[in-house]
Amino acid sequence: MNAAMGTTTAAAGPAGKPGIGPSPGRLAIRKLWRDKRAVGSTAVLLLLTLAVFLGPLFLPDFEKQVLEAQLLPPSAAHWMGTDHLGRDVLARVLKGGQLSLAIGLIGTLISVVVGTCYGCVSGFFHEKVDLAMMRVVDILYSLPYMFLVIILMFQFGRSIYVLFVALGLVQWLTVARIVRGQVLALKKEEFILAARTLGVGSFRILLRHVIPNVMGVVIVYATLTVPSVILQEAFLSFLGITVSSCTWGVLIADGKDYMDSAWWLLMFPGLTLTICLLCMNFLGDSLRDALDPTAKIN
Amino acid sequence: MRINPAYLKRIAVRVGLNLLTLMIIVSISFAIMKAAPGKPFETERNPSPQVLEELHKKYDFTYGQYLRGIFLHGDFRYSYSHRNSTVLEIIGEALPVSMELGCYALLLAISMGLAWGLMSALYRGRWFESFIMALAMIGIAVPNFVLGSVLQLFISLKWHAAPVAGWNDVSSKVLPVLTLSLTYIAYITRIARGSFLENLNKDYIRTARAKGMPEFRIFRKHLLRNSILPVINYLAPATASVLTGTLVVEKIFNIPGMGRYFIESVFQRDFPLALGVIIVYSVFLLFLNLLADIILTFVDPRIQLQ
Repeated sequence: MNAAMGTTTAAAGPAGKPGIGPSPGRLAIRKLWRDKRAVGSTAVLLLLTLAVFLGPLFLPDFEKQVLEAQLLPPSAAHWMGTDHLGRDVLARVLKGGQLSLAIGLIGTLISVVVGTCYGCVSGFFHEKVDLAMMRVVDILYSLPYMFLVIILMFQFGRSIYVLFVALGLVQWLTVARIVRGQVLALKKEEFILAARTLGVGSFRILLRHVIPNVMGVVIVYATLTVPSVILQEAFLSFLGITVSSCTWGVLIADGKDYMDSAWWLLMFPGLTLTICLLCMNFLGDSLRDALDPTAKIN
Repeated sequence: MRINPAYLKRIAVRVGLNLLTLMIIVSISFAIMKAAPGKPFETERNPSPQVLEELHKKYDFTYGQYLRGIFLHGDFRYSYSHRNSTVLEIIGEALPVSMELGCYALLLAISMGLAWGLMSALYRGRWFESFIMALAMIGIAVPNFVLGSVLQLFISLKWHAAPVAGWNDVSSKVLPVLTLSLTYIAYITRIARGSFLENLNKDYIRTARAKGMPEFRIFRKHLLRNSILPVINYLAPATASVLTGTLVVEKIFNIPGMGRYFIESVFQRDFPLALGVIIVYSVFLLFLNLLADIILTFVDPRIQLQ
């Protein structure tokens, strides 16, 4: 976990001396700009986001069933064909995209917020508190999450809030561990000692000094968590445990039923999901490499 | 070598923690499933009170009864959907199937992963390496249910090269194992390549080469042993996620394994079966992790058991 990002503070440049050279953030952006993979992925993701939120304005309603136009292959009128109820697949894929992206972002946000708070508290205060909190994390870590999430979702069902809670629950543990590691290292820095000496309260120190310095690692982790959450949501909806009938997982499951006669019902949602996840993973990888202070910049 | 009382004590602590975790898992699952109102069979065909009474005696249970049942008698009670079978019977039939699927997938993943990883390390800088790494990236990003469905579409339906579903002869096992293993092949390729690359440049390898040792012997005696650690490290969480992977692969290919039974039991509110599957999986996970950690301490003497 600490290998993901070295322990840098916001004020230090690559030479380790405070205030000399551009900040790690700026260096990271420069590195990213040069990385073709990262630029390509960002472009695709931006395109996808635009399409997903603006596209439906130009397309027929994703719910509109035209029973005369069932199972039509891709054509000029329907770029991705129609499904068994005559609904335009492109519109459905875009709508599914809205849901997936929203769920991915919000789920990640929840797990990051919870995990960061937990990790900060655990790492910053007394050792006994830390030990107890980490034991809890260890035990929770070994729970078979998917199974519990499945039963949870099934019992308390079709509410999107349960979904957010369930997905957030799975991811926050790793965030907590990473943040705690960073906080433990940060605790020894001089500026923290200085703040304490000046009489700054613990909460304020955490808020103003610790958290901004931990943010780098958290952001990298968050960019890799979003595709993970989207994947889990698609996994659940493929199995039938879903909050909407139009998410990518449901589209893929439905498409599977008709795959012998209408390959486009499976391939297009599948391809979109894959490309989305691929780009997010590329971006996350590149971001992690870019923020690595041990790598050289030309 | 290092089996001293302190080591055994740490193992005991781990086992204790595992049991505690197991209790927590059972409790949480029980609570979630009992949270929905209604007793079993209440909504079906309006049986008379006496019949309901009998049914409840056989099928319903409280938390205390359940715990006593599983720990004292090994009794996981009867399934609600497969009315005449006990949960243990069903799991007894389904577990070997899932284990077979999982083991084949992991074996395939390890062998292919190490092979591809080694080759991309040896051909560093050439197109081969970039090609393999790109494939690995795709392997990591493609969800297993998408892959499984696509393989079914092309290989079974269009080209008739393998059966669409089922788990009987060798040809029916190819697609499910391939689907399940692909993500792990991709991960292991990446990890193995990194690890091999790191070790290939080390001095002891160069010395062995300078002494004239044949490449294969170098690989077997030196490179493999030193590079395999990150791969083994990865295998513990990988095994856990193979279990979740079987959920979807068994559904797609209609394989009578634990995963499929679990999904069905959740949808049909077959509470004992779902609980039984969760317990068996959890026991597996927890003790497999412990085993992996123990093996790690033997493979690398620098590692301490936690």
